[in-house]
Amino acid sequence: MTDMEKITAKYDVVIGLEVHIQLKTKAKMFSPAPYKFGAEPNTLIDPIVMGLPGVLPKINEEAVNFAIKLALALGSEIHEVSRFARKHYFYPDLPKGYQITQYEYPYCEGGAIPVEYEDGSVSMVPLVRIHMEEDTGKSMHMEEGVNFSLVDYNRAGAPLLEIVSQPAIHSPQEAVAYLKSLRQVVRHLGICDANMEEGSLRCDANISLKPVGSEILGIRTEIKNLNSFKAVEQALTYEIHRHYDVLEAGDSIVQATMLWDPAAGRTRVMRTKEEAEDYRYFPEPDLPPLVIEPERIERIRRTIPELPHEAKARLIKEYGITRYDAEILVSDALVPFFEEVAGRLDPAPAKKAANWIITEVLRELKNENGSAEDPPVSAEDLALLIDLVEEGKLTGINAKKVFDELAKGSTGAEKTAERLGVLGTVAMADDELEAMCRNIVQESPAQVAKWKKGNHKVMGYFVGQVMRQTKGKAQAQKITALFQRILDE
Amino acid sequence: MNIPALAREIADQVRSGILKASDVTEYYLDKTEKLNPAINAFITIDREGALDRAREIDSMVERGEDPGPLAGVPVGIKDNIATHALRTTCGSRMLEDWVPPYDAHVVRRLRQSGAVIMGKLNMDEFAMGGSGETSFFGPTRNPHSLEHVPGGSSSGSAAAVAAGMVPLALGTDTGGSIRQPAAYTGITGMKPTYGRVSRFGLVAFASSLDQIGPMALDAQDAALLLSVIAGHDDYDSTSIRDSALIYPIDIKEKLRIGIARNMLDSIEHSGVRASMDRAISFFEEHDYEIHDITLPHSEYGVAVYHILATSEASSNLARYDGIKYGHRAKDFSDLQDMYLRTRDEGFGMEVKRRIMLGTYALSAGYYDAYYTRAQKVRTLIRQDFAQAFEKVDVIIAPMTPTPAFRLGELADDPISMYLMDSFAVQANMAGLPALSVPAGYDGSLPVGLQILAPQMKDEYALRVAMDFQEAGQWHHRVPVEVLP
Repeated sequence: MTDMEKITAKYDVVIGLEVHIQLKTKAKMFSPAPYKFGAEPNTLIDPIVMGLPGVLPKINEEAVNFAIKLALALGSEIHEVSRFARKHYFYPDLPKGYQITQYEYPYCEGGAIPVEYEDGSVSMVPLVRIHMEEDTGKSMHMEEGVNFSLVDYNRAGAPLLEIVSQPAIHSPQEAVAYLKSLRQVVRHLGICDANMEEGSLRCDANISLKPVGSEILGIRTEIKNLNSFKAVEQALTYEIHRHYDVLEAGDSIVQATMLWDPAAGRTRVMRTKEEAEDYRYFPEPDLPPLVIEPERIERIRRTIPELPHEAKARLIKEYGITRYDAEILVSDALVPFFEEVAGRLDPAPAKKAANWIITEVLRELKNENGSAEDPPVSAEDLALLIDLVEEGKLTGINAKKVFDELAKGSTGAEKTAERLGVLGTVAMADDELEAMCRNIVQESPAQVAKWKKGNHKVMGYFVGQVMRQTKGKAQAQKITALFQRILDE
Repeated sequence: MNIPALAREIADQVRSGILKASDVTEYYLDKTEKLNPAINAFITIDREGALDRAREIDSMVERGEDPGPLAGVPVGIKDNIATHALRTTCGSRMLEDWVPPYDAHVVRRLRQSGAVIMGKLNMDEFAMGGSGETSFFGPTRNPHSLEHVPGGSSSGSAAAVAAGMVPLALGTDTGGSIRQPAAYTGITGMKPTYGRVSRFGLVAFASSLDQIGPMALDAQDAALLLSVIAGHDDYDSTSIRDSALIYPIDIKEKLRIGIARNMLDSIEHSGVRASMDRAISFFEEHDYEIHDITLPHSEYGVAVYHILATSEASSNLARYDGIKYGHRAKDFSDLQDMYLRTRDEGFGMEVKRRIMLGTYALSAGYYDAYYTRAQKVRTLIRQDFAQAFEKVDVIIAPMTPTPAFRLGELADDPISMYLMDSFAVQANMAGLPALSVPAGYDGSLPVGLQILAPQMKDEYALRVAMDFQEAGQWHHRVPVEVLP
């Protein structure tokens, strides 16, 4: 039995996650200043961001729309009236001495994250609430011995949504699956980049253990500084073991906020409950209650795309593609493009469209830093290209050449193929082709020797020779079969 | 050259080319520089900026352009209203050298209306105080008697207008800070309806109560200045839509007057009592329909005000931490120590007192007993007024329990000082427009009459004040200390 199995035989693991996602709106939560990761320090600021004397916050309606979008996608109940509040503490990266957040009256409650597991099964993890707030700046502490720190206020005021799950997650692996599913949802909705390294998705975890079957939750600790999925899994695993050891020794857990130290691979106490700060929340007097009218909710509801797990299930069923392919199409927002290409294909099957998009289109997008809304090749051209191959009018290799030309701006798949002189396959009699192959084999004793020793990679060399001689118009599959037969004689 | 004392007369003559804005500005600058050492109304006098602007206005007139309704009128700005490139201290060491990179909304409107910004006016530190004595830049003195305070917190604004250093000034009113000093200095000062004037650029004391308003020699000039600064601002989320004010005020119907009987009856000072009796006689003699009204929860006003105002203040003043702007302690051992020393050195006594009170009221375990309960009483006060305004159009009440007190008289007695605001805070609690109009003298010291109106009926209060001021002509009395 592994350690973990020993623990879970005796205790239920109870995990709740608080996730912050940064909304990719044009402006900040309460000011017109923009936010972008990685900009020169203190260049994305204005008097409002800096909390200069006399400035006032103004709610960014685009951020509210994004918030509504997420609430609708997760089935949360949106409150018509919500409020902003001030949360007070002193720290240099908090410009006003308070953070504007939602406290007693969040804009929505309830809902659930559809968590997908590797086997494709889906379970719903219920949410407590989602609320809107503003981000802080970033403190940069110098190395030991330097007696000052620097603050970058670029991030200050960036719009955040805090998504609070119920304590309904039961293992570190589930926690990671939850985060990945949430990431996929917010990317799918186009409201957040959800990049943990850049901090546009951040996670704090609450964890406690209780005797198996007990109704009463154990004392919990909160873990901060979880900057990657790996950190989430490792920190939770560490903390579960720590709780287990404490409980088994007959001691009780001290309610505390812990900091994950990835280098040491352990958690450290940041502050205990006794040291907890009094944030002195009170309603933000500079902002009237936020009113979200039902018409606005309905207007946004019409723009919500189907959720990732729904999209995947549908793609597999409707188009007969693999779960793996569906996964990539959904997470890279390529579903609409795929459906457009697949819809045009005749006679090629949809599966071919998925292959092309996942390899060629995605590679092009990544190389050119492009967006899925603006694919490098039109759906019409790509569909035609795939059909030409399917009909045997174009070889796979030449089709890729045509694709590259199209991606460079050329239009018309057939026209481009013609211009490149690659249209058509070699109309060579089988015996003619076989003669060419036998000839190549005779002239390549070294490669033949390698083949005989079991090095099957040299097949690439043989096929390449034929391609050179036929200007790529030979069908690779056919030649491979031919060579195999000749070499194994 | 005969330079008028009233803003509307200056503007008329500058617009028609009779007067040069630069001559007007020069005249007021000279007067200010002569009087300021004794009165200390100005923290910053912007001679150069004012004259530059005045010359621009003169060339606009020469080109046949209209500089606007305040053409060439020198205006003083209370030093808690942000002025681009002109330091804005809030009367505090904390912001002794702070120069804003932006203009407050009202300042932008003033510039667009042809006004000449003469400089920044002294005030109680962060607008906390009712005497002008808590300013880091020294107390302002009352032009009617240099031994007496001008009231506060808009001490410099009131004193400067009363002394004729500027025809108009902007003040701010959180719990009487425009009206009480107006009463003490014999001028007209108005707190408009909450939300009628944008707060963008007003350094916050208590956000749900703060309001910028006009201070002038009479009700017409106050109305003129209010018409320039009132109106919706997209960058103040508490700003009211369609809140412009039309000048001149045109109300034909006879307004019904309510007398706040319980407030009047509580007056012990004979001079103030006599002024109030005289005011009521005036309205009776002029055939106003008069009703007694009651405001049953008004007695809780000061207590509720101090809980809510200090709570919000403790939050609003959290940003002064020595990190980004303003004062920072020179010597400190670590971050915590830097915060403590910076705030200890940067803030004065009264500000510290209020930050501590507010922090206490918002603390876990006390919040419901103080803040939440105070909000409930605030709602009751608001309802009292709503009920009263069902049968009257304006309410008259005393402005202050006594005329101006002597410098130092209440400096060690904050409770008595707070009680001076008991008639003033009601309007802030309910978000109502209210003004103080000169209503007589007690010896050499002015007494003010307070006129309150329903929300967005600022015009009512101004209309009644215009009628009333004609009776006594007290608004034309020149303070003895500045007689030539």
